[in-house]
Amino acid sequence: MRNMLRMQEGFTLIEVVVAIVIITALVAAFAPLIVSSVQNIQWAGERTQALYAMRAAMEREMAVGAGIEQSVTLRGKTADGKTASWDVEGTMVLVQEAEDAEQIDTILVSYVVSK
Amino acid sequence: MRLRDEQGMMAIGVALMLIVVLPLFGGVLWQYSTAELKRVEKTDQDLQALFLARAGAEMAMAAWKQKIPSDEKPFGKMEPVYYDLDQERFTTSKPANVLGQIDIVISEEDATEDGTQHVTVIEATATVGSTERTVRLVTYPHRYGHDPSLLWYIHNSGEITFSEYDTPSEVVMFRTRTQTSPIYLGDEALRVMSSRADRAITFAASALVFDSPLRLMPTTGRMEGSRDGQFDVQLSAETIFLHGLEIDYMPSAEFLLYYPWKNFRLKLTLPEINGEKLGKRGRDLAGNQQNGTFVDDAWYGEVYFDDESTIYRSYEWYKRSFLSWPDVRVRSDYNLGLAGKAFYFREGSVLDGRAIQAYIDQGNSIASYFGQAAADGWLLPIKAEHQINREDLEGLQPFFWER
Repeated sequence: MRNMLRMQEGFTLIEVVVAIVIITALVAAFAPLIVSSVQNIQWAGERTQALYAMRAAMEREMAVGAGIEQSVTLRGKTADGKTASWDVEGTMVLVQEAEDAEQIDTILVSYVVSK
Repeated sequence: MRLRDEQGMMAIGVALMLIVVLPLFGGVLWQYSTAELKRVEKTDQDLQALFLARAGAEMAMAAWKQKIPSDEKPFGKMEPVYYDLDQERFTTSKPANVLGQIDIVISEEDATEDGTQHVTVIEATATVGSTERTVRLVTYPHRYGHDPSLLWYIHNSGEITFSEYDTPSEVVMFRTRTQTSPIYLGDEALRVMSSRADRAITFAASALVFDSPLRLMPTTGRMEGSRDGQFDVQLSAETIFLHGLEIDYMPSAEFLLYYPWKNFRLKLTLPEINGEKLGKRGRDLAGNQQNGTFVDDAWYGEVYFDDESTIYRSYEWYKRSFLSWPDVRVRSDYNLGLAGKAFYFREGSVLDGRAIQAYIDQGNSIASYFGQAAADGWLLPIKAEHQINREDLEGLQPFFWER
């Protein structure tokens, strides 16, 4: 038994130090990349959920026609080719979300015609 | 080489392996996160574009539905519409700070293979950043009951045939080829109706518009040859426009043998769309009637009679001579007095010649019959300011979405 233990000799201190240095250098180099990637993936998931919530809110607002009354003028041609404009009365429906200062606001805008 | 050296080399080997694995892992993770960020940005723009496109389609639809001559309606490519983020409004001149651009095209497409009917198509495409989204609105053409897709009656003769009479989300018009020849119950319809428990035939639509008169049993020959008993033509719609009406009843008679009674009634009901009934509750209409009383919980639709005559035709069995077979003739035409009037009808209201005859036989007038119908909450005259007209209905031209 004693002979067997003597046969299994460990790493030298130098070897261990070299290995630790290499691993530390690697982790130090890639840790920010990995951490920021994980953070981004997490943010993307939350953002997707927030967007779907905004969409649902928008559909609700449009269904009840909640918003700011606004007239819009459309310009174009008639069937016989004459230039014309048409005034339309309706409601501008808007849902927006302000993230923190680093993120871009998302604004969903639509228009519902007065019934 | 000694074992100790080999173990040292292995440790360095493991460390060197990490040089490959860690960058690989980090690289894949970074690539995935970048793709996720792009996807979110795309979803964001896609949503913005979708709602902007819907805004454009709604605007175009509203412009198209305005009460203006058809050659003054918008057609072709419209000038782009923008959403101005600074002014927070839609505009046709390009602003400095723009959320997106909407391009609208209004066109006409064939609705039938033979090109006899067309639908108006509105396509609105919104562009936000690099994302485009298009929505499409299509009009329902006014379908006629004689269209091959419905076959509710035969166009030339006006004879009601039998098929599936159910298009609750549409406006359906009834017009025979000559327009003056009536819509009436044919033999085939009566055969099928007599095999049904309710002995009824139902036309269901959001609105039913008659451009030809509805005369259930228009000739003595048809009355004589028809099946006996009671039959209902059921009009199931939120709004009904009638262009002349005739309901028919013939009492039974005994000439050695028994000759049966026949009664052809008009029943008014309300259809359902996706389990939701069209029409309004009586409590929501209170005050809109000229006289009579609504039943609060009952459902009501609207029926309009134009200036064409509305009659209850009373037939009778008779014998020309003692030896001849009994024949059928018109006994009397009673003016129902509904022409030019509009009513809220309670679901299940029936214009019933047999009931009217019984009422008249008691010495009452038809006017008092309808007065009683109003008092009982069945047919209530609509105040003029709450009436709509055919032109309003035709202007509705409902659209449906395609995305």
